[in-house]
Amino acid sequence: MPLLLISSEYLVLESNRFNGTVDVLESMKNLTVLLTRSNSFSGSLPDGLFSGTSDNIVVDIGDNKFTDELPTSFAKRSNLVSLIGARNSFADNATQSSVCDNSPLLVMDCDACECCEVCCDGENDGVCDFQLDGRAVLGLECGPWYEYCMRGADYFAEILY
Amino acid sequence: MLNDDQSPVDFMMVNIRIVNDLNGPLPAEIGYLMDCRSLMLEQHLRLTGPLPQTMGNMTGLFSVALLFNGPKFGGELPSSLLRLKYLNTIHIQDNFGKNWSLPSNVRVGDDTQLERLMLVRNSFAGIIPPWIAKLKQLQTLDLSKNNFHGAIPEAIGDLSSVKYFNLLGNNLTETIPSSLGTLSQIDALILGENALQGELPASIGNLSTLQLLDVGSNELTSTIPPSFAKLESLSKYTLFDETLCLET
Repeated sequence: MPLLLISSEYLVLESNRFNGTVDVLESMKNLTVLLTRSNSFSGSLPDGLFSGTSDNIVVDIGDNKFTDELPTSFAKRSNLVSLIGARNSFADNATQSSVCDNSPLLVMDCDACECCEVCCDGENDGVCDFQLDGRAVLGLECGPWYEYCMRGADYFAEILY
Repeated sequence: MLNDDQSPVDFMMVNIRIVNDLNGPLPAEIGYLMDCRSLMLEQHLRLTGPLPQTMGNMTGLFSVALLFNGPKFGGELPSSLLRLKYLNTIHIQDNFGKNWSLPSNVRVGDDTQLERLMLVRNSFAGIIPPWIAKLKQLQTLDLSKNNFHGAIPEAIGDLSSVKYFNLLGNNLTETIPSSLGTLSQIDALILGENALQGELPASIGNLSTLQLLDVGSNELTSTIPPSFAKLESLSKYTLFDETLCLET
């Protein structure tokens, strides 16, 4: 999938040692892809998260310390195509069934979700190990062809070959 | 021969695309190709050695592309190449040689026209030299998937034209320079898969055009700066038609 940056925002913070809440992201109205896997973020997800985008929302917040329930607003986000939230500390049944109906790929710890689509407990420790390949989602393999993606082959052929 | 009285030709455009299997080093005489506009070498598995310094005499050169060449091809890029006045694009990608490097000192001219420096998956080693920050027309800097180490130079904030900045997959250390917050044209900032430490600079919140921030797989700590609340991209990028895109 090529990288297309059209009035969307992509934020990749995965596999670091970040902590604190993600409350500030509520202001990023065009946030569309959020990958924060494997950090120590905590608190609840803000209700206004992803409120401004009509593009497909892709989220991997797995392996953090998020708590409480998923925002009720998520039930209205019909463009929330993927939500990976396993390996957190969400409340029991934090995921409403309406979120389940909307999201083709929903991965939560089993006790946080009555309806999780995928719960692949590879280590047999009661938590889900499923991960998104975030950079594949972003099409970062596009690499220097980024401009090719953006502007089309004719432009590149003209300047290079 | 192309020139006659009825149709004067000021600049004869010459593009060279060599598709034979070249064996051995590029000859120094390549420097005589002063009208050559575009040089592309692709899949020459027996090509050897570094690029000759005489490439600095190819004053008409607009783009250089070196792709998928063999394991004995490589070395330090000639500083003379980086000072060519009309050069727009350097694209060196997926070469199998192990000893690629950038020269430590280049006196970049004020009239530099280089817009694209793309050195991707070539085992480039060494530090990111500070002269890169003087390429003030640079729009695309892609050094991803190499072995660059050390700190990202603080002067990198001088790249005032840069839109796409990709250092993914190197061995970069120390902190993310706060000067990146002055890249007022940037829409993609990719620093993932390095060993960067410390906090996210609050100055990144100033990047009002930023649409992609990737700092994944580093050793970063602390919280998301409150300034990120300003990262509400106001401009709508409708210039690019989805149908133009390459399907990979």
